[in-house]
Amino acid sequence: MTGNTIPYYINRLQQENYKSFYLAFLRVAISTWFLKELCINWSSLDILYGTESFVVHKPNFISRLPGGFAMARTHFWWLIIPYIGVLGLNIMGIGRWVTGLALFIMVDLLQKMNMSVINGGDKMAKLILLYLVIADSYQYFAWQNKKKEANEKKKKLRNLLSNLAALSIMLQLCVAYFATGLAKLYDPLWQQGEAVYYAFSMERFMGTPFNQYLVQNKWLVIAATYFVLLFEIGFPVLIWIKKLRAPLLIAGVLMHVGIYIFLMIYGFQIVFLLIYGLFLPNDRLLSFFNRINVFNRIARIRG
Amino acid sequence: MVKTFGRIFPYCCIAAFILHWVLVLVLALPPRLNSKITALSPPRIKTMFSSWRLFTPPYTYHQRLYFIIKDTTRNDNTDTLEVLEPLAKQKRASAPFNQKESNIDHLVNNNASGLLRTVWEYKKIPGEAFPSSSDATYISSTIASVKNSRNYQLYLATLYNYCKLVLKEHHISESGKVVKIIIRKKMIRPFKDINDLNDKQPEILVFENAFTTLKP
Repeated sequence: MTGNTIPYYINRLQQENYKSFYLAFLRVAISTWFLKELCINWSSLDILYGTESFVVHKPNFISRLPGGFAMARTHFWWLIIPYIGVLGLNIMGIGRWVTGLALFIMVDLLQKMNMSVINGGDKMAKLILLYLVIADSYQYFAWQNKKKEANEKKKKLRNLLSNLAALSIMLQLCVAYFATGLAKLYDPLWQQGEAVYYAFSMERFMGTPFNQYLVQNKWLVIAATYFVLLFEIGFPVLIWIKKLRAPLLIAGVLMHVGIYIFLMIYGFQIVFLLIYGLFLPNDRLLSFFNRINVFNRIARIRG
Repeated sequence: MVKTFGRIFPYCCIAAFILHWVLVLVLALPPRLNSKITALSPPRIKTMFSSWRLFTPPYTYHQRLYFIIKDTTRNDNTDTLEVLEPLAKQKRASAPFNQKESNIDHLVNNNASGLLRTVWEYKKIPGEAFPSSSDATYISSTIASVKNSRNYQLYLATLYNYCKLVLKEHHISESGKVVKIIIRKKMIRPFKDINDLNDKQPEILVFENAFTTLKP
């Protein structure tokens, strides 16, 4: 039985790149997200990476370079300028996996230059870049997507790697939720249904004046705490059941939008929500895209 | 040879994929479930794939970071600057376009928390050890036991560097000044007293060092 099962699945994974559209969309979206992060941090780049930084770092790869952190801080623009260029190339799909790998290395370097500001969203975005290096995410939104047809064997291998990369990104999301949920299960404040009260009351994260009114409602706090706990534990298991996928994704969107608004944690939510698209079928996403694509519409009107 | 490689390569990919995910799953588990395994893994891999802990455990207090600035030429002249509460207010006021405030808040809070973690790891903080008082001797003896550790020195140096920026912002000259750092925890009203709006929570002193000159 098992002897036939593995070749069957390998064969299936080689037949088609099942997430070709969304992988391409994710490449563009995640690169745009990095570009957006760079733009909104533009005024504080000198504090984060430059000579105005007041953080004394733990020794890492950068401190072992000639000149160490002082050198890196003085010349951080030498990294930022090519980084913008590589982001642009990756958005357009030029250079393919080589550009993807270069982008991953640059992001890793920038994150190492200031580990204190790295949050879960940054970590997840970097992991997405890593998995995208092995995926064929150039069938859409790429400068030259009509590449010379590769031979059948190469095509099969590319499909296999793309499907494994897409699966890895989905699994990474599941692992992040599950690990967080499991850690919460052991915490007394989460067990007693009180944790959301404390999170909403923290002055550092109090996103709106409504936070303090919302936490006055005991039942709302208990319901929200258990909702988060159940969602994080349940999502990794239940998302693979087709019937439950839509309600789970809607619940996830609500949770992340809630964190975005009430806890002022912005970039993180966008990265996590971007992965949700991988759980949707390729053909449906593609037909939706074709319907909203302005260029297609113009072509249809011209007839 | 090439044919054989072509045939076994997909199997190698699947094997690598399975192995990778088993490792990631183990690394991502909470420390109490996998402490022995994560201790063996290289730190780079550990930071890349593990520690997903959003609000676990949730903070039950607000942190307060005080810079006490004393003029050495005039013994009676002391300035006190608390930096974290105004930072949180600024962050809230400029939301959602609060990236700069958010970054500084992150940097300062993370380093203050790191300092506290280094000092109080495996020990009880004054609020837990002596509920009604904050024993300065207890704190100083605890600090003395870690003051030579690298982490302690890095976190403290970062906070002193930030202090220099704050002094500059407040147009206070560094010369002739000595600075000491105090960190307090202002507890959030407990959930059981959720509707008791008159309940004022005390600040617990958790860190206090001696006055030192700011290094250039």
